Amino acid sequence: MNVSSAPLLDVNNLKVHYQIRGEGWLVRRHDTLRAVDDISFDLSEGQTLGLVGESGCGKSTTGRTILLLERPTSGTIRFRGQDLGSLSEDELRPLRRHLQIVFQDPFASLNPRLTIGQIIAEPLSVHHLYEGKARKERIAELLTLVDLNPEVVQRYPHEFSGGQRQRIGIARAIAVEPSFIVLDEPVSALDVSIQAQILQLLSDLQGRLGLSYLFIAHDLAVVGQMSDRVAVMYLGKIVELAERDSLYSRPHHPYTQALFSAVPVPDPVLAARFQHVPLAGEVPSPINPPAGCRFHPRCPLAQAVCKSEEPPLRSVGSDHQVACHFAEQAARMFTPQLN
Amino acid sequence: MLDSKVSKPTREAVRANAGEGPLLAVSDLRTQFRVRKTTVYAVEGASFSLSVGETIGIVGESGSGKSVTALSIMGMIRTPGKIVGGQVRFHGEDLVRKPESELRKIRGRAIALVPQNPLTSLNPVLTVGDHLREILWVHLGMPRSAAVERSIELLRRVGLPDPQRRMDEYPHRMSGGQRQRVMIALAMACGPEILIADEPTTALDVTIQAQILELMGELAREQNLATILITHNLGIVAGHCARVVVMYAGRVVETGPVDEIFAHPRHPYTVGLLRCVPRLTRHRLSHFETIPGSPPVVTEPATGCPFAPRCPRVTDQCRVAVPELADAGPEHLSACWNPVEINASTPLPSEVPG
Repeated sequence: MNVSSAPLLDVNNLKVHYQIRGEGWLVRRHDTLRAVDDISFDLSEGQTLGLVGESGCGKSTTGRTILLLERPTSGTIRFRGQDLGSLSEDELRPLRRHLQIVFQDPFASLNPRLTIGQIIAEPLSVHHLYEGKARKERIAELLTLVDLNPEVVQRYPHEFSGGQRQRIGIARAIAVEPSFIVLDEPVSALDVSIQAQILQLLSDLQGRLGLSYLFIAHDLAVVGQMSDRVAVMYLGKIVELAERDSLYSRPHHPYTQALFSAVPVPDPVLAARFQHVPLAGEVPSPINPPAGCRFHPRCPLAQAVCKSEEPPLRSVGSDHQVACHFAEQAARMFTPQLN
Repeated sequence: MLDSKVSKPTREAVRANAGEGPLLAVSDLRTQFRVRKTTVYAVEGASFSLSVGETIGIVGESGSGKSVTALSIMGMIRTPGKIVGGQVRFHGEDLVRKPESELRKIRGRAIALVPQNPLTSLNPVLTVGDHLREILWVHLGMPRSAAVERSIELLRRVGLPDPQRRMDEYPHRMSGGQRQRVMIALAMACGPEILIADEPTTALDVTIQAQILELMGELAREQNLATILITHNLGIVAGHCARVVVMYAGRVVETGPVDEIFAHPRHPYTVGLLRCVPRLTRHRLSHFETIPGSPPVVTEPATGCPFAPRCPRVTDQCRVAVPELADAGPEHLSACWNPVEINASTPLPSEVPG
């Protein structure tokens, strides 16, 4: 894709498998849970890649693995050309500063026994940045950046609302001047009114600090407002990967289309006119994923070939890839309701 | 503050009284929590009604009083909370004044609740079947074999695959969507007349949210059930409710038919909520419509409009006098001193091309 300039992040054939105990009590058998199963994508400097899918599709594992919070089973993760998997923990430490994360649950991700000042200072001490007197100033500066009053440093997380805690989590993530942040469902736990505030903050920070984001969410509406490119995951696989506007004007995968239909239409007249049948069933277990196309048991277009042959990710337009045997047919049958 | 005796009846109440009267009429409900020397005014004079077979949405941010309103209707307010005023009339009888023993016969039977978090609402050491059999025994005195049969039927109806096997399953073994289906089965077990769903889909994926809302709509039509859907997302209300009640700081600030409210929102708070609904946009956004600030915790009786500090249309009057609900359109009431003009367009979030 980007031949001219090397991408900031380049993920190739990434697999994350877990060995788990299977059935049987006398002879212990092992099953393999394929959380992430051979995915590739890249991300350019200053851009946002949206990663969308249902619970259990492997999107959070992907995010955590890029930060090497989980070890990949195979595949490579290149950050500015360096293969992270080949580095020792010591070599990795200075790089980790550039790779940060904001978690979904603002209540569980802040240590309740630390003050706000201590929470934000922690990554600074780990990386020996802003030592001594400069640290206090840096913390005040960070709190100002996320629109919090710098006087809150002495207070504890429980004194803050969900939206404010998420701001604290963001301040902690940007403290060490990262270039890449995994945003793991950063607004899913918040009221819609507060979601918009946090998205605005993340968008502003991206422009000001030149950040690149991997934006993980289960909702195409939220993802689309923030992303330049979007990858749709299903059961450990990327089923569609495209430039944002191309995906939103012409989604090719029946699963992507189902995700579009699931977004509530915020208009009573349109909602009454377009009664979509919701996608049936739930994501099957990644321990024994369905053969062929993994989506075939839930797919309205499934044919015999879908049960036996796994569709490869193929190009259907410029910067638009899809893994479906009947992508062209599906694309003709569906247009998302944009407004 | 409204005195229930002198407050004029709302349009809905008038309309409903012309027929056979609403199934549920909440009038001037006031619920407070006293913690040490602080009083939290959680619900401050909420009024609305619900007719047989009707689905209404109660919308507002966290802390707007929507959940406390639901718990007040169910008679589930516990110390330090107290209903200090108003009425909750169910079939014309005031539930607020009923003794606990009588409320027990109504709660979970005639009025059922689907809570936000199914995992904390289910007992982790009881199976799905235990939960269902218990409620059928307590409310209907149904013997074991009949209860088992009815339970399986309920699980099948809420769309759980393999219901027979599900009876012996423990809650932690199920997905969030499956657990919410179990909660709906429990709520439907005794054939309720009113279903109150408190953010039933907030913890779920959008795909599962669509399934659960669809299921609740189907059940409501099938059983002629009246439903109250409580949510922070006005977008959900559009496709699933006939009327909407917008709450802020414990008060109803706007109410009316969904079509009317979406076409002509008059209260600046409703406009704000409408604008920040996540939409499928043509392009990536650079500017997001927000309601600045956060909702207040009300610890003093209001002396002005509680939304005034966040309101883009605030006037001097807003800070000194509390606006009452007043006519704002067909069957449409709004509590605002400076309402949005009817023909004002509500522009959608701005977009940046490509």
